[in-house]
Amino acid sequence: MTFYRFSVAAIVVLLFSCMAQAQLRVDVTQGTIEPVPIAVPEFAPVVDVETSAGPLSDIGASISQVIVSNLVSTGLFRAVDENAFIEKITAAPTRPNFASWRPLAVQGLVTGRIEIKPDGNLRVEFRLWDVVQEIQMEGVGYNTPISNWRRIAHVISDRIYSRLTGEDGYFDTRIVYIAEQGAATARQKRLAIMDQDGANQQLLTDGSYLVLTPRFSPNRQEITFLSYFNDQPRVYLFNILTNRFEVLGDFPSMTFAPRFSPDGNKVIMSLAEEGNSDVYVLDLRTRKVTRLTNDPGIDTSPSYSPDGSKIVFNSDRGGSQQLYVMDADGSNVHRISFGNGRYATPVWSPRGDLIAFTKIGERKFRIGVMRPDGRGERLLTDAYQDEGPTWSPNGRVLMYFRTTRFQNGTGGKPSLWSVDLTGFNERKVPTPFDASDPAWSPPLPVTTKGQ
Amino acid sequence: MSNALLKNILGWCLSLLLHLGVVVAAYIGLPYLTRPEITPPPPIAIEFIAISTKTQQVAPKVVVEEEAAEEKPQPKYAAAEQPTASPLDDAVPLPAKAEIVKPAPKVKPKPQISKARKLAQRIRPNVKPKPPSRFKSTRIAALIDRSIKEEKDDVKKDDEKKVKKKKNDEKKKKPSVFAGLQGRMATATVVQAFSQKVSSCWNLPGGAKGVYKMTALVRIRFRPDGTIMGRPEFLSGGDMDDGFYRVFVDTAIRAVLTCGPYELEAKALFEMGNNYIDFNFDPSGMGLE
Repeated sequence: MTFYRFSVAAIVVLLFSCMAQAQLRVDVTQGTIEPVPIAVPEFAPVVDVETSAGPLSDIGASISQVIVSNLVSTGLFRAVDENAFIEKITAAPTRPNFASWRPLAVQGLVTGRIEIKPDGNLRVEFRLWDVVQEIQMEGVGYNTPISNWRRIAHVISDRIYSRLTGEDGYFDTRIVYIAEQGAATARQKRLAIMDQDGANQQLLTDGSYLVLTPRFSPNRQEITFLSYFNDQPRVYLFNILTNRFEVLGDFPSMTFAPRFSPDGNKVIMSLAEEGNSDVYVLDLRTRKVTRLTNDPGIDTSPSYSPDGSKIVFNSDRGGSQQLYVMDADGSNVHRISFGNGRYATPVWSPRGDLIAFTKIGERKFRIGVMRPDGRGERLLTDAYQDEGPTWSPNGRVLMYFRTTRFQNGTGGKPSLWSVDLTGFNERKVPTPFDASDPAWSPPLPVTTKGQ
Repeated sequence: MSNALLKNILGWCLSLLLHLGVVVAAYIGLPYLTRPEITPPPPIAIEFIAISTKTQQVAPKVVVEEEAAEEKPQPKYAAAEQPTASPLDDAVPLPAKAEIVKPAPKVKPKPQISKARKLAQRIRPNVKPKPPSRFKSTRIAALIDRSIKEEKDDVKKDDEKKVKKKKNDEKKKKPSVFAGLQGRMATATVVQAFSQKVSSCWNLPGGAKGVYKMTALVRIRFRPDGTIMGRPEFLSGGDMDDGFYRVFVDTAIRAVLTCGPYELEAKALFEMGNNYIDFNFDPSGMGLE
């Protein structure tokens, strides 16, 4: 009995002594937002052999260059100079020596190895290491034809970006745009497509007919665009994977700005009859057209919310061109923009939290964003003429076209630019021709095994 | 109480203490006895769908007329106008604040120096003259007497100091009414030191969706030398399946690891009887919304 009492007392004393240790809690409420330092050494070949695309070691070096270029272009990462590297990464599947990377302040280290498989395909493996925590964050292998090495670099960039930022990447995507050539009075406009970084430029139409407002399907590799074939406005559907064109509709009246619904089954557009333009939706399965707005004002540039429940469009029904939001069936129309100036080409973010637009005022066209309820308006660019925003599939970056001021016989030419959602990191996108009206594709398809 | 019972109790106490010792030693030491060789997990194989050959073709190169890109400075936020203060029309002016007149400090009269003395000071050599020797062989006895007198004075002063110190010590021994407050102030100082240090190393995922609403509680255990013991432990805050949140927690853990070692802070922590601390990462006040 005595022992029992003593034991209970001892346990109680022990418990109290533990509880007496005051638990300290530190609130960390301030931090910095700076580019994350990363290092991407050249991907090492298991055996350096000559391939149809050059020596394997050169392909390894090119893959790492593309990855660095992609990540740095986001403004969220900073590449550590490869001349400062202490450790040489080999093809051996071993852990890197973290102590060699810590003095360089590297936080994310990407190592990779490449080899040619017996079937002639290229195998690329990469690992993403957290140098501070000394852990592997990601490890993925890919098999693909050698000619696809650049795409592999984009896919790897997406994996790294996704793991380090928490959101999907947008590097394995393409941009469709209008390539423009010739004098202002006889401008030739052709449909063109390229990788998001400006590589792999191709022309999809021959320029014999006018092409306008290309838009990507949000979930398929399909483009809808407006074309004047034999001076008749037609909405076309173009499948990139099969290279097939299809006429969606031969509309007798003027048609503007066709855009897909989030499920890809509908196309929303504006049709003009007797000078009055309203918003219509075309069901791609039934080919049935439904009128959504019926107002004497000009309603145009409709864009669905990512869940498909709402539509934003611009209208001058209130006296000046402003943004309005309505339910997908055309009901509950309400104005959301109330700032100075006019608003045009609204596009709902794939994240759903913002609407991008072109703001016209102060003798400028500028790109801005606001929340779907109209609050939190921010202008992201401040040039003479920026217009036609399109979102990256992850809703992080906006691409648009900028036209320079026409002065003394020069200028007036459009080019593609991109800007981060935060308003930083504005960059020109390289194109071989003058370029306007960009539209961003969804990520290209990738099949996975063993996941 | 019989001797046998006393021995029995002592035995039980000793046994309990030894068992506790074994448990504590195992808790602290066992994880570090063996460090298994970590091999990287195998990569996941992914295969591509082949895409159309046409999309692999490269467009013919065309001579491009290069234009000077209109680059402009990076930050392009719509700059909000700074609020300017202006008086209201019906505002009643406040009474003028009475000036507090400070008594003028007493100026010590400067000693009047004659022109001849000033001149002498000006032409005085820079080297400090040595004082003339005060030793006089005829006055040795007087010096000895004086030294004895000075010694007595020193002893007196020492005694007074000791008494004062004793009084002070007695005062210190008495429980101070501010002791608790002082303890809290020490805790606040340690917390502030940790907070400031880790803040400088915390690189947030800028632009991540909803980052301003996220919080993460991370526990760190320290060794007495200020190095971090084991891995930082994520306690609570959000859903780790959410990619944005996982990255947020990663940045928090990287911050505490990068900022180490915490020699002074950990020393203060150990003095307070703690060997761990919880960091609550909360960027809600950073204006990221």
